[in-house]
Parts: sequence; C-alpha cells; structure tokens
Amino acid sequence: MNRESALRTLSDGDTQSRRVAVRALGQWNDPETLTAIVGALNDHSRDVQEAASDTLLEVGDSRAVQLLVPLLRSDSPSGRNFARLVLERLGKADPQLIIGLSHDPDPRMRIFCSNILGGMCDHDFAPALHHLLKDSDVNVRDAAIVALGRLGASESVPRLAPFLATEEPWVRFSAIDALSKIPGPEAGAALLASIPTMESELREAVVDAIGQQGSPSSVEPLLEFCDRYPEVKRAVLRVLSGPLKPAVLARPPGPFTERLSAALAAELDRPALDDRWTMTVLEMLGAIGGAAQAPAVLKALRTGLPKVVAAAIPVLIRLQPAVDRALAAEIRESLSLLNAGRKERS
Amino acid sequence: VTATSKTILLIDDSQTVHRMLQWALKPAGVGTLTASDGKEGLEVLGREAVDLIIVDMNMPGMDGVEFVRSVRAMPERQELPIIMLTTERRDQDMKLAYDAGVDMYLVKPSSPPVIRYKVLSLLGLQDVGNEAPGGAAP
Repeated sequence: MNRESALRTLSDGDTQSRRVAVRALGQWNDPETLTAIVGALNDHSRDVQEAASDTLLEVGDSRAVQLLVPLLRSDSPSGRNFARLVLERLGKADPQLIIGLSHDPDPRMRIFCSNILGGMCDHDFAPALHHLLKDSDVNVRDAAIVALGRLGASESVPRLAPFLATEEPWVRFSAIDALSKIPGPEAGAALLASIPTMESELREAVVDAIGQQGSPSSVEPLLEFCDRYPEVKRAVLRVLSGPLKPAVLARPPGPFTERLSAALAAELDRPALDDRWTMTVLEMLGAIGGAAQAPAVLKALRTGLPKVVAAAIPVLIRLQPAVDRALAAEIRESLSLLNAGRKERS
Repeated sequence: VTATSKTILLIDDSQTVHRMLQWALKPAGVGTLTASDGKEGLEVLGREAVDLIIVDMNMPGMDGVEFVRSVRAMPERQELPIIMLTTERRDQDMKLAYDAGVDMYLVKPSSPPVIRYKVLSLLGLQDVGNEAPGGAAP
C-alpha cells in the first residue's frame, strides 16, 4: 500500500481497511499523513481509533502534540479520550503546549491538562499542577490533586495537606488518596495530622491511606489512635498487621510491641470474629512475640475452628518457653489433647 | 429485598474514584465491583450479576457513552439502571448520555449522600418522594 492509497483508504475504506491503512501510514512522516493519523482518533470505529493511537505512540513527535491538543475539544468522548491518552505519552515532546492548557478558559481543558500532566510521570510538572490547585473550578482542583498523587512528588505535600480539611468530601477523599501515593515521611505525617479533625466516617480511609503510604515513622503514632478513636481500632491493627508489618517487625521489643500485642489479643476476645481476621491477628502475635498474650491465643486454640487452630498452634509453640510454668503446662495439655483428638479421628 | 443483596458495578479509569464511590456507598450496604473502562465493564457484566452501574464518560479505550450503548443493545439489560457520573457538564454531553440510554446523569463532584440516595432510589430501596439530601443533582 503506497501513501496515497493508504490516505484514500483511511477516508473511505471499510473498518478493517481503515485500520490497516492507519497502521501503514506510520511509515511516512509528512504533515498531511500525520494530520490524517491524528484525525483517525476521531473515527467512529474504536478499532481504527486504537490503531491510530498505536501508530501515533510509535511515530508521534511535537508536531503530533500540536495536532492532538485541539482534539481534546472533540464532541466525541472517545476522540478526546484517545487524544488525552496519546498526549500523556507524547506530551513531553512539547510540554509548554500542555502546560498552556492550564490557563485555558474552558475548565474541561484544564481538567485534561491535569490528567495529562499527571500521566507524564515527571516531577518537573508539579509546579503547573500546584497552580491548578488554586483553580476556581472544583473539578479542576480535584483533577490536579489526583494528578499530583500520580506524580508522587514530595514537594507537593504541603500544597495537598490543606485539602484534607476542605469542605468538599470528594476533594478531601482525593487528597487522602493522593497523599497515600507520595513516598516519604512528610506525606505520612500529613495524613496522621489530619485524623483528629477528620470526620469520623473518613478516618478509616485515612488509616488505610497511611498503610498504603508505608512510612515507618507512622507506625507508633498510628497505634496511639487505637485508644483515642475506637472506630478505627480494627483498621489500625489491620494496617499494622498488613502493609506496615515490615516496619513493625523492624522495631525492637519494648513498650510499643507490648501495647500492640495487647491490642491484638483483645481482638481475640471479640464476639463473632471471622476466621481470616483471627488468623491475621494470631500470625502477627506470633511474629512480634508477647508472652503476656498467650492466654488469649490459648483461648483461640480452644475454639476448635480448624483454620484458627492451625494458626494458633505455631504461635503457642513459640510463646511457650517465655510463659510461666503453670501456663506452659496448660499449653502443653491443650496441644496434647488436640493431638490425641486428631489421632482418634484419623 | 435488601441493599446487602445488591451489587453495583463502578466503571472509571481512576482508582481514586473507585475508592471514593466504595466509601460513599459503604453506609448503604451494597456490594461493589470495579472496572477501569467500558470494555472491562462489559467483561464484568458478562460474568457477574449486577444490579446497577455507575459509569464515567471520559475513559480511554471504550468510553462511557459507547459502553452504555453496548449495554442497551443487550435485550436482557434494557432495564438495568445506569448512572453516568462525570465532570462533563455541557448539555450536549448530557444529551449524548441520555440518548445512549442512561437513567441518570450526575455531575461530579456529587456529595456521598446524594450518590447513595440516587443509587438506592434507582434500586427501589428508598422512597423517591423524599427530597434528595444535599441538593438535587442535574
């Protein structure tokens, strides 16, 4: 297929032919061909749009960026979204053109600007997004917050933190989510600092975000929230036993681990515990030690629930040498009874 | 019929929006499934029982309007409630969505109580005669 034939097919061929033509056009680099390829992003067939997008990702340059930006105003949702997607990958070829959209009078363009800058995964674009945090349109501010989370630049933390207290719950949630994606102690500290003033039904989301953010310095303050905010106790323990477990295990035994093991053991006393959570608690207790909690583990063993029993046995074996004689004897007896029962059944 | 027996499919290319909607719907007690574009949404719909869909308009791959058209082309999905939740507030986009077959068009950011109210209303689990909390959405 030569260039002229491919251009003709792209304008009047059937879907399959147009798809093949737009792929073939990638081998020519003149302005007319590039314009035709970009125009195919507005094709009524998604197959052709995808083929045009693939071609542009292979051959696109700053000229393509200039042709793609106007397509963001397309009346076709798929056309403007394919343009957005391709610009996220090609935008670095002409970043000023993308940044220029942050001053566009149309808020939709400023939202696309945020989306594209966030997708360009380069901290250099954070200042342009900081500017959009002051936008008069709430959806532009929200899109800028989400984009800054995608960039993950720690210098954005002081700009994002005030949004944790904004009146708009949607934006507040986006700020929580964005900070959860920014590495470093600053983002963790900002999330922790928001808990006391955060509405109670969002506190669990903040705790989860702190876990996802993963800063080891969050571990100790997080445990303190267990007592102050009972509604997030389970979430805190879940996070300390999950994403923050490596940070917990890296700490030496001491008052912190004792408090944590006591809080975990108290979970075993709750009525109607589900197997999965009980196993998580037992595994964490086994990992951090805490002989003082052996009676709670023994109680879990006596529930007889197969999965819980299986999780409790190694914990008790590990704790046994550290407990007093009477309790050690009790543990041995329970384990022997269990063993005897198993033999009898088999 | 209770909310806990209902499943909502959330289709948006932003995981932040997935989490936001899951949090907003949590007090309603409904279950949720997620997909990141219309194509994935159709796959989920093909294998799971879904009682209501919340879909974004602007998504890469299959956008929300094309997704809704595909769903409405299925004879067994003509009555499945669909809410489009989007930042697009132009009349022409709203018309495009309603022409495709959505039951409701909400402009972001809708407050969590409004989203819950609209979802429960469409599921027939709330008295639709009550005034929507936090102001009516378009």
